[in-house]
Amino acid sequence: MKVIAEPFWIQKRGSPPNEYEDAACPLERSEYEQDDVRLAVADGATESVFARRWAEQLVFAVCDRDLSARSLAAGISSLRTNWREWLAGQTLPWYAEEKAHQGAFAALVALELTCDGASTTLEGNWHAAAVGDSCLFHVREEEVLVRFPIASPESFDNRPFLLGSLGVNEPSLNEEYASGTWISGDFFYLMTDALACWFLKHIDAGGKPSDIQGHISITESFSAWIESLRDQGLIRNDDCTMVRVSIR
Amino acid sequence: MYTAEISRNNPSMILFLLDQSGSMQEVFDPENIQAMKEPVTVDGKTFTHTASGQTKAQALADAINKLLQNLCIKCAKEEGVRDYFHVGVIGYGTQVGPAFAGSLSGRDLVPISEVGGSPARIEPRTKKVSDGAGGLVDQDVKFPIWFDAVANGGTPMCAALQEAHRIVQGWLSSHPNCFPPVVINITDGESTDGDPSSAGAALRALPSSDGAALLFNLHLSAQKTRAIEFPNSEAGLPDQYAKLLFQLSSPLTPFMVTVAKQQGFNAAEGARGFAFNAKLDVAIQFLDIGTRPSNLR
Repeated sequence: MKVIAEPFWIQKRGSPPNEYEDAACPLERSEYEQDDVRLAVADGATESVFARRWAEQLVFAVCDRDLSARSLAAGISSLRTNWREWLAGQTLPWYAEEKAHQGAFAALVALELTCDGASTTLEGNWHAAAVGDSCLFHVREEEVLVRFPIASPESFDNRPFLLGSLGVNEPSLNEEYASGTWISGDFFYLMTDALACWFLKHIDAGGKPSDIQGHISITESFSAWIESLRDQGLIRNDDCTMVRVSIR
Repeated sequence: MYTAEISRNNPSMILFLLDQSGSMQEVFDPENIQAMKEPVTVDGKTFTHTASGQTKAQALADAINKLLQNLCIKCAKEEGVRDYFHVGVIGYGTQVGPAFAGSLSGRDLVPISEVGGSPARIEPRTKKVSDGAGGLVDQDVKFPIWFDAVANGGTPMCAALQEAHRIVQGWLSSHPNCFPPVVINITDGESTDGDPSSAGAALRALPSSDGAALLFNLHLSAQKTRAIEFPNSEAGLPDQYAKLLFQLSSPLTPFMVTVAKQQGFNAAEGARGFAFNAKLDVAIQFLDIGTRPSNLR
């Protein structure tokens, strides 16, 4: 199987790029020719400290196979242990220290694409996991086959349950799982919430998934496209991140 | 309405009004009650006994310190406190005016980053927290103190609301599109300079393009009745002071009602920004500066 993953991102309007708190893996356009490919997008919460660091640790853990899209619980404990050890070594002012004790939080959507290397047909399986409001969309030709984990634009709000770096007061991860099969020519889109919400509205209003294509030939055109959506009031002002995944 | 983005480019303001009158010397749950040789009259009230226990003034100091702490933490990032809000604290008792001490003394409105950087002192405390594995551990925490208990003079609530009006009006002239200013009045409710209703109504009528200013009231009373949060009617409130403060209070916005419900409060349609002998810390979470995890406590 050949997988091409292309990440695009732009920070919230009014914020400098170093305050961007989403994360994607891969960081750059990547081509894979292997039987098992892992990809992820995460969205650090505004109301937590070290949110970008936590978002990056989550997506890297997915791509490094420390966190599986088939069972997030299996890998999250060691990530949290590492986080506690790292945090214990930080010297912070009172407000950041208090907030750091609450934990960092991020939404995560992870995708795992597999195929049987011995098979000659171009098809395979996919598994996805999500916590919070970062989304995955599985697109075949002009049809959105899967909306995961949020199916409706009305379901987004500013108070999602997110993946915490400390796991305090969390009896469960509240994670959701999905799986299916892919065929050659399919696309997957991983998106953080503001863009995912726009995408669902666009599709529900009769738009086509391929309408995105012309806007994302390069990162600069993605940025210009998001800014134009912001100008028109069609998208919430937030960090926006997308990974387009095509399979051949 | 009430949907304007709160950001460093479009900050909002929060103004706290602190009742520092002599009647705030009253003790909530008195112990060691002893008769005085002669009655003493303070702020129109006659006191005949002394007692030990937390005074209303101490409860007020706790409330404002906790509110400021929560606000600073809400706006905190690893690199510092972001100025989503400018904050003022007006004390009213012997005088009506800015109540910050130290380097913030005399200032009406201060960026929240300066508030975070300028507590009068930071007290070391410990609290029990989860160890993430089902147990509890003691954690050293730094507790910032901006205000100590003060209780002197009358309760010029009308003058305090008029001062708030002046400050809010000034802010709105330079921030016409901000999320509407929020004024939080913490008092025992016994105004000594007249009926505050018209001053409150004038304050609540000051608009940004996103809606009218919001006036919330936290009523600290020595009455031993249950805490009341965000009622939608004055029926069931324990005295005329509580009813007056309820009438002074703005209705919560739809977003605020949603957050109050998420936090476990029984906020019904028409709920107002009023609390009686309760904490009002949740009011800080009524302000939306971006994604807040629902599992953040």
